[in-house]
Amino acid sequence: MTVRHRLVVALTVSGLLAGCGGSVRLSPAVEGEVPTSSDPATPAFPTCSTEEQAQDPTRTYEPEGPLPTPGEMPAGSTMEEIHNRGQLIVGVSGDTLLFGARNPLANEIEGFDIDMLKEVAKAIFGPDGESNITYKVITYADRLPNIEAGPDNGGVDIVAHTMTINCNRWLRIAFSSTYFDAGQRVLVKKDSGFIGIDALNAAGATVCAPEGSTNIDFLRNDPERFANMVVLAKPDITDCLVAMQQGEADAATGDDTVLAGLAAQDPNTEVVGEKFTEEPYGLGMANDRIDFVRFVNSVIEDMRTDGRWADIYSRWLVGVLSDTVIEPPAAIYGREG
Amino acid sequence: MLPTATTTTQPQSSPPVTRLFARRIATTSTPAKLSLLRAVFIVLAVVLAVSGAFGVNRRANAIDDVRTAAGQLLALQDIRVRVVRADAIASSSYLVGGQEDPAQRTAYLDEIAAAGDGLVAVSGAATDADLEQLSEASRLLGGYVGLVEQARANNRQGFPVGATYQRQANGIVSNNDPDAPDIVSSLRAVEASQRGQINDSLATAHRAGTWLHLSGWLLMLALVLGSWWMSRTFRRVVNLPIAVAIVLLLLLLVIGGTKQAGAVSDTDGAVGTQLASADDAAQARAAAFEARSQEALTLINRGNGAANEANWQRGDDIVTQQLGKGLGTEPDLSDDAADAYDDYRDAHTEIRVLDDDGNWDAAVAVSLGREPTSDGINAGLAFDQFDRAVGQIVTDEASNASLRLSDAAGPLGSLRNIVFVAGLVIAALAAFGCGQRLKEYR
Repeated sequence: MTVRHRLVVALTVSGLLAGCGGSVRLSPAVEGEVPTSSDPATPAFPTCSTEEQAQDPTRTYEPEGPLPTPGEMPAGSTMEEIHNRGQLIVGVSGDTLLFGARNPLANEIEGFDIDMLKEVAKAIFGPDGESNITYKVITYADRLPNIEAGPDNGGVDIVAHTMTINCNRWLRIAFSSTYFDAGQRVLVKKDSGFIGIDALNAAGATVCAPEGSTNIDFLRNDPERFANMVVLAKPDITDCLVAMQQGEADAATGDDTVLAGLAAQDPNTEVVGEKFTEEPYGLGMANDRIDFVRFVNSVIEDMRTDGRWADIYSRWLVGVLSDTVIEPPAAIYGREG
Repeated sequence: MLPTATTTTQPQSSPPVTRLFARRIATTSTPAKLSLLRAVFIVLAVVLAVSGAFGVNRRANAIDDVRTAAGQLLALQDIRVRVVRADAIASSSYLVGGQEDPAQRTAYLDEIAAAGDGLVAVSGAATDADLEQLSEASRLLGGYVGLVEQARANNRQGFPVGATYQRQANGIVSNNDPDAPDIVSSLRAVEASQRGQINDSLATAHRAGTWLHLSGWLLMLALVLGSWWMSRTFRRVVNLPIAVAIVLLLLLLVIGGTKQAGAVSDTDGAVGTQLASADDAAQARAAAFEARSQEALTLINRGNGAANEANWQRGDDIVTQQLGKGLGTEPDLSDDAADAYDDYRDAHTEIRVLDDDGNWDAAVAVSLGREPTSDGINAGLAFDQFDRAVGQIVTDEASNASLRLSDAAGPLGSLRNIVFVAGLVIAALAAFGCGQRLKEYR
């Protein structure tokens, strides 16, 4: 062993005596992980051909005769199944004010869509039928899957959720006749001087719309028309109202029905301009329960003529979307099932 | 012709320095050697006095730094728990709208006030980098309070937009977007910085012990070899002053080494046991409150709460990992916390089933503890029980860590002075011992 080696050994021994071995260490903070979902990938859904797209998607199944007496549904029908179950299971929105939103004061979900469903329930169960409704609050994305699953598999009998009737959706579910003609409009600050979507574009305004919505697609798909506008994407339409309140956006765009709900929450805003898209709303049901679709169409038909539709419109939308009650949309029948 | 001798030039290696030194020593007179030895003794003893005292002082300071950083870490975690608890209260209160429990409102305001005060307090001892994060957290806390009030005002009028404000508010407390600032991320960054400070200071405390031992054992070697040479040269077995110096040095190294090792061992113990337990428990507590907030937000967002449920699972994973370690040093408390959390987790599972099946009102009632689960579990009570148990673990372990760290550095202050004085005394004794032999030549 050389002198140098001896020196190293001596220093090492001395170091160990001095207690400079490995010290305790405080571990870094623990990070949490989310379990990996075992859900299968979202399947590709069928889409309509050009010929199918050309047809009127609001065409639905014609009612067959007058409605049966409540509580006495035809044997073997879907309505009898629902009546025997004692529950009409419905899918609704929980946060679309005026159409489907929880009233925290009454602790009930209420709105135009909800009133439509109450009429369907009354037609099945009788005058107190609304107490036979079981509400399931669902997202936009969950509307069709809940109808497809059906009430026996955790799904629902019917969905009323500001749902636009279109051809692609008909390939997966069935729709009632149009119960409300909505359309895309804009929400602006009162006295802002903006009178519609083109005025906002001309001024180079910032317009907010929910990411992934057909509303934001409409703006993005027409870059020539909306060249000056700044499009602000937010997760949800209510985020757009917040963006307006916080000065981040000049306006929000969406279905006029939804915008009316936002305007009702902020008296400093108003819905302006003409509709620049057509969004016919229908109640969604399973496409293998045609008898139920015909039954619901019959209920809506009666509501159009006996004034109940007008009452519902008056309760929720007069003074918000129009000054007086408007005519209900006409039904278009002729779909073969 | 004789072959020409090839002249190879052998490299003239110069004699090694050590050989030259040995030759020089051999030719030096004994009095000169004694003088040189005395000088070596004095220099090494003074080096021991200065570097040994410096090393002990450095270890004491490092342990003190560990204590300070541990205090900061615990204070930061307390702030984080207060903020996420406030958010859990605000989120749950949102679910009951205008029927908000005044006690819950008071608790929310108290937690916000305490978090604000805490941020001011920890900022006083923060580095510039940490101060930037703490300033960000303070700024965000102000924004958070404003959003909660807007959520509350909208909710009391029955406006669904309140839920968006509540969601935004929660996103300011904690979110999973690395590009968006949030209070929890800022505080966690400063906590990580304090953990780094603790680990660095602990390593410094360990290294600092080397100074005393290196200089001490070097001096010991010199004294022993010097004594051996003197005993051979002067035919006397013992030089009393130098023998006393050796004994004194040995005592200093043994006793001083023991004291130093004890101090660093206590610090290791405090950090590795009590502080680590308090750290783990505080992390579990904060994650549980974050999960509780997410549970309420899942219900607030009615049908749109998939992301919130994923966040709940992330918080649950942290709590589960920490509980799996066995929190704290009191098994009973740890078991209480684990049992209560198991009950709460079962209740949460039932809440999700109820909500997913459309029984929102029942899910809210179970979440708020107004109704028990089908197994009779009260979600609110179970969560409170978990919180109390884990809160007790944090308090106990933090208190023990603080006490142990304060005690650890205590003896090192006097040891530093003793090392310095002892070094000088050894220098004097060695000088005196050499001087006795030198006198014999005069």
